[in-house]
Amino acid sequence: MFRFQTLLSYLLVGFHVLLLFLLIFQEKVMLPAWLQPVGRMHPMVLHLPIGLLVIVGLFWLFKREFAGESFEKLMKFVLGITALSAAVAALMGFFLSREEGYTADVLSWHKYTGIGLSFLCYGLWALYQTPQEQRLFTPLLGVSAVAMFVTGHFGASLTHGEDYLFPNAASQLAFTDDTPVFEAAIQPILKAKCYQCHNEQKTKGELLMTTLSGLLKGGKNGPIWVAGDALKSHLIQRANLPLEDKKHMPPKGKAQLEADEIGVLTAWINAGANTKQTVGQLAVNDPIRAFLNKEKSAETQVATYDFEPASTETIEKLNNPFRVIFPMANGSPALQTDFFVRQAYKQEQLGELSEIKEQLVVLNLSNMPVKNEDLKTIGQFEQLEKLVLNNTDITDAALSNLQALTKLKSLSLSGTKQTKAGMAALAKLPALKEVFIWNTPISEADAKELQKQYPAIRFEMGYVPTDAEKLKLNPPVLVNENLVLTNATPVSFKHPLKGVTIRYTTDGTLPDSLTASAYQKPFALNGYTVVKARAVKDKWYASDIVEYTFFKGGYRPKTVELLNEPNPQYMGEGGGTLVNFKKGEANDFKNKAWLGYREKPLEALFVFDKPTPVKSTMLSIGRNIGGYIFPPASIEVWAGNDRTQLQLMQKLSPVQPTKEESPRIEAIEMKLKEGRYTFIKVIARPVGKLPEWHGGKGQPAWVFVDEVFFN
Amino acid sequence: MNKNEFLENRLNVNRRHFMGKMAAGIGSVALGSLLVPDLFKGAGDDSEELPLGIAHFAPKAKRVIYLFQNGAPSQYESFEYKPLLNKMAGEELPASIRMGQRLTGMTANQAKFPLVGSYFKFAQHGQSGMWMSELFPNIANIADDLCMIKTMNTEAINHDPALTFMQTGAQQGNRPSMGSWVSYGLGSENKNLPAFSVLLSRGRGNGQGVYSKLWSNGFLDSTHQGVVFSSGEDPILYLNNPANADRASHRKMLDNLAELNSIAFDDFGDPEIKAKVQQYEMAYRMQTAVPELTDLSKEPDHIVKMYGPECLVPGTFAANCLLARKLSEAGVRFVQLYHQGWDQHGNMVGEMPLQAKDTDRASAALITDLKQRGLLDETLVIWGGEFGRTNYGQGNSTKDNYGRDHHPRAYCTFMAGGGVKPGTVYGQTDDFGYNIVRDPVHINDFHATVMHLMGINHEKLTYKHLGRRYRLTDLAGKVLPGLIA
Repeated sequence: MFRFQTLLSYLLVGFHVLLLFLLIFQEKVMLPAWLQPVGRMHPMVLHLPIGLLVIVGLFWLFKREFAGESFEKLMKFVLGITALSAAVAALMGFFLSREEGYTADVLSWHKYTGIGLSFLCYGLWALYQTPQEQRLFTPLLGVSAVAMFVTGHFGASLTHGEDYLFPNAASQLAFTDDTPVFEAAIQPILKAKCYQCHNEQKTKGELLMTTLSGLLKGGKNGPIWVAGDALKSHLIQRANLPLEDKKHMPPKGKAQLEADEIGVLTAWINAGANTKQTVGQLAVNDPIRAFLNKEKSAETQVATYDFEPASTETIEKLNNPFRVIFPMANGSPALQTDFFVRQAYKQEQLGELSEIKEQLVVLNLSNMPVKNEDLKTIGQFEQLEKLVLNNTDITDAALSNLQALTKLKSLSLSGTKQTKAGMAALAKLPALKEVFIWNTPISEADAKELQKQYPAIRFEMGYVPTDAEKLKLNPPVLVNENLVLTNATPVSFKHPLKGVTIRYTTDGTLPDSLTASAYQKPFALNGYTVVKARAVKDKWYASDIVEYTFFKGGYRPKTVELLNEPNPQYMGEGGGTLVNFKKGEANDFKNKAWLGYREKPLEALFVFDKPTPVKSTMLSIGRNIGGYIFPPASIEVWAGNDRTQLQLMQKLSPVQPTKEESPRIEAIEMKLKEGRYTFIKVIARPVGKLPEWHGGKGQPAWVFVDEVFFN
Repeated sequence: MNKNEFLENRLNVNRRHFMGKMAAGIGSVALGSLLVPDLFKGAGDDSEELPLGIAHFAPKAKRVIYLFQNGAPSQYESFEYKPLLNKMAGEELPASIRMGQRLTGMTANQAKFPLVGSYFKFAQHGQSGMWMSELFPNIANIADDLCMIKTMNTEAINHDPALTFMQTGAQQGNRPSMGSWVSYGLGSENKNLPAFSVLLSRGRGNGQGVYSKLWSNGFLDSTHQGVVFSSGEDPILYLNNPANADRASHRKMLDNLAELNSIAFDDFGDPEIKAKVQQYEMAYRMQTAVPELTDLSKEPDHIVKMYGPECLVPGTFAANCLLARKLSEAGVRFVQLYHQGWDQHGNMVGEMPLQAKDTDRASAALITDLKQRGLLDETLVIWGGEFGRTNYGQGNSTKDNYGRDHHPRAYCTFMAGGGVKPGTVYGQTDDFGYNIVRDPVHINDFHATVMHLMGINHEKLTYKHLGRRYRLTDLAGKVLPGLIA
């Protein structure tokens, strides 16, 4: 033991002399290369004296517990190795300090305090050898402990960076659309993965990455990026080298770049390494934006609420069909409240929510008759992050009541009377990110100014109509359900859009969108009329033309006898079908409004209850050329007052089609001689053979009739 | 219900209940249950562990609007740009691409499978550079809001099973619809309106029917059934009290009826009785809630220009889009639209523009309208059909007119809002558009992802029926993070 103590004392003297020598002549000393690995062991060895010094302190603190001869020996021994390890660590540190990359203040502070600490430990050991001087031991131990902390702190600042211990939290991920991409995405990556070795204190490879000028200047191998060509840029090349490669960056053992971080750096360099481009200017699908959003959402996802949940009873008590309160998710204390049904809204229902104001995070008052003074109540719900006031009755004055809502992120004001002036109150809401101002008196120009004034807030204007974009109106809608007009029923039209003019004609011509009669009120028609109408409106294209054929039902026979049965497939509702004033449709001949004949002619006897002064008979027939439905080959009208002695009034052969045409309904009028008749017979003969040009040439055609009118 | 079922209800104590009850009385069994507390509880039901009526975790989408394009819109004339098909038009679909895959009966006997390119022009839109056909100019305008899936794929090749699969997660059609599952899992936000609402419209193209089984509650309570709105002037019929009946007497009638029903429930224990009472109550509240929905006086005049003038004509797709927005804004959890007429086996060039015209403006307007009200972040809009169409022509196809048959291997569907990645194209097909090259989205995966966006763990939302637990994705489905923002 004695020999060990002696050896120890020689070693300590030797090392400390060496330390002093190196310190004094440090500018002139050249260190051999083989010492480099020794120096690099400094970060490992330095922990030894720290631990030992702590042990010494603890022994000294509890020395009464261990009092005795062996305690003295033990103390001497432990102090000896403490001092020795401190001296070795200091020497190694000195060798390491000669390597490039460490500069400036922190290193020299660390060097001097480190060597100082070594001498202090030496002093402690020396002091303990002579028992009478031990009263100085306690203060010296205290000084050594302080020196150890100071040295350790400087050392850690060198390796981990100066703000490792107290990071500047505000600088993390706080970006808006106006933040340069460089600051929002690039710098944070470099800071996390590169600053550690490329900072002002430790500038490895002569590359300083903490400043923009340093980055642009590059290191000893030149600039680190080639704008627009990531694959030729050192930064990316080094990152993509195999981990084992000496040139791989960050070096093996240090925190590595993630794949998406390399992706972002690559994308940024390929896009020109523009240090001025802002986040807002990024394409929506830019990978950098996706990266930022991911980082951001990762942040919001961990955002949990630390407030106490409201009691289930309170939530149940406040819940009703018109005011719904529910937690954001299972187990979350955060609550959302929705109001529904404007009629059911009562002002005091808002005030009652103060029972859950500690938990209320989302409040939706969309379409409720909320007044300005109600916002005083809302202004007390300090946890609110989202407030929806769309289509409420609030005005500019209201928003100043929201000043206490320091957590409010999203505010919806669409459909309110808010003007640009009212937005001034928003400046006081620090967390506000988005404001929805569609359909408010705020103009597009106002919105642009607001955006400039409050760059941190996104103002959403939504759809703004332009006169340049013209759409076609939909056609007018006929209100009449029946196209057979009786007892002077007027024709009436409507259109669902406000401010539309309906223009129409009754003479079969196309309605001109400027000059045709404008529909004012329902109008009466005299007999069979084709009405054509279209809707027109300023700044819209006129609608398609709609066409309706009206019939006038004058005299109505008492009974109808069908002298020939219709085809069994198209029996309608018997003879009455012809006089029930129910019109069929030209593209629906299966409808019960139609009677269809093919093999036999339509032959119907209409019986009036007394001799009636009928002047004309009108047949409403269907035409569907593709469907073999043609106008009759001939029509005869017979009339008289004795069913066995009827007189032929008129015979007519309608004009036959000569080509394909779209289905429609046609009216054919037959005149009667002046007189009063009880019986009128109508015969309509189908075309026997379809013409040559028709697909079904040679086959018999159909005749379809839905109504016969007598006037 | 016949008499036997009434009697069986009295015996509605099963083995586990019986043993559970006995455990309290019989010493040895009681001791056993003390030592192993769960001994007689039976296997735990997942749906009991996670409470119903609340999201399992924080949802990104609170509501869904599903613009279902019924009949299978052709991807090649809408969102899938495949210039190779124009270049190789008329040439045979290479066997190396077809790989002997199954065909429908309509083209299986065709001697040739000549490729056909799109008659309509394509261009890139938005900052995202998404390819869109000229038939959808308004949807193209909002390309940067869309998450376009190019690789939807299904197992069914005919309309009915494919529709049923898309809507219920199974082809057979006895399962609850997606909207019913969501109603069951999350409950209703607005108890004055049905949580699952269905709106129907019909275009001018060749159509395929829709059936009530698509919005069926399946084995879930009938309160979760989709409620179909009328296509007429009044979306909900018989809403007003009859003449001379005031609201007070209506209320009294309902109270008395509820009392009688509760006696009946005590007797028979049929849960449908309770469902009935709830539905009466909702109908009563709907009398005040619905008039606000159909009231357009709070809307500015230019809303008509936004959705197009058709939105004022009841029963059109545009009118349904506007109504869907109002329903969704009023807290309706799941609004399902069906627009018929997309089955272009022939006359693609004639019918496709009509179908596109019906849907393009209103679909884009709906998304923009949600956005400008601050609702898009929490509302998921889905647009797509039940499968895609073939890259080869059906029947006698020419460059100027052609038809396409059913193709389940890959088709397009887009989503917007509700926590999906905006301005994104997901997945890729080969240059023929026939097979998926990268990132397939199977319908089960699609369902799992939509459920995830709504804050539901699709594996945990189950219902026990016929002795086993069912879920929307049944035994498959994985959440696709690539779709989620």
